[in-house]
Amino acid sequence: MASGSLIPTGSLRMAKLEDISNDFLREEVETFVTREDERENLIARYTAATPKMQAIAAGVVSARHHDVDAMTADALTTGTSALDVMDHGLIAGMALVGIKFRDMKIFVPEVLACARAMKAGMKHIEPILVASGIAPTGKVIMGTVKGDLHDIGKNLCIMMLRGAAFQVIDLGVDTSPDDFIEAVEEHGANIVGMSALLTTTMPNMAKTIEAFIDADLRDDVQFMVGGAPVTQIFADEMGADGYGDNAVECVDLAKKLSDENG
Amino acid sequence: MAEQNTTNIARQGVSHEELCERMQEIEHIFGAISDSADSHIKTTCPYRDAAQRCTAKFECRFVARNGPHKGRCGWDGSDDYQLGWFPPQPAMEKRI
Repeated sequence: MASGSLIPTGSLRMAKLEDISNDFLREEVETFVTREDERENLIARYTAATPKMQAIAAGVVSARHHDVDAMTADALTTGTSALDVMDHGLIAGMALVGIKFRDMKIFVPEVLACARAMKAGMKHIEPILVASGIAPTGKVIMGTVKGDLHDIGKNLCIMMLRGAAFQVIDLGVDTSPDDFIEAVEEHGANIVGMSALLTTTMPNMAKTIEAFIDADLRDDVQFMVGGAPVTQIFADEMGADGYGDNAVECVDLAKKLSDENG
Repeated sequence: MAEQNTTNIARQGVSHEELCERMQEIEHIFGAISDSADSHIKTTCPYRDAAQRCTAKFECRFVARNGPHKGRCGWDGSDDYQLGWFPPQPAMEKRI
């Protein structure tokens, strides 16, 4: 299949819902995509895709990360273009996920599961990005601080960061200062993102920064912080290098800090 | 597997610009998802009564709208986060 335009104009005019050969995708579009322009866009994209690519898109939409992993690897090794895999498989699937989420047909946990499926496929594209000169934007250590088990906001940030080509090491929840330090030393990252949802665990952000000072590593890393109760004022008070109000700001901040690191 | 893929792609001659376009598209999709998440938390009712009426009244989570960012949720210094953040002042300890 030829690569190039994401949505061929000819297909855009002629494609019909019935032309989508993958039953799951066809039903998803029929059931969940109500805006005419988006419906046409997705129909065009899916009908331009081979059954293999439609299966990858369906795997992303249904969050089957093991399947997406295997199907993407198979497609690339059997000669399918990386652009086709992205255009008609991974991106095509995630586009539908975005629409379903916006229209509240699915919620954050489902989106994160779909993003994990997409990441499983993107893992096979990454060497190609590197080979074409697209280096990772930067390396970020992310974790929810000690005593706090909330991670949905952090996971959204991680999803966004990975989408923006950052290499992210996710330490999960209840992350101690020592865990952050070990991860920085192990992975050589120079950006650390800390999240907290509770006012009672916010002080552990400052304690983590203090631990880096004690370990004589503070100058090697930049800290960005976020979470519902965290504000710019608190970020400044604790000595963080930046504060992000949401996932988009998190990515903007990470890019800024990454640029400062050179 | 990764090496095999890289070899395959090298043969395909995928251009840097084309890949950059795709990465931008992924970033755009995720950006839209993040915007939707921001919108949902301000409009979705997490608490409803038996008659399905929304009983939640917090446009801003934990913080007030009269904060430093006009029209946005933010802290104006009047909330009690300081107690959760800073250790009690000596004068306060004395009173206690």
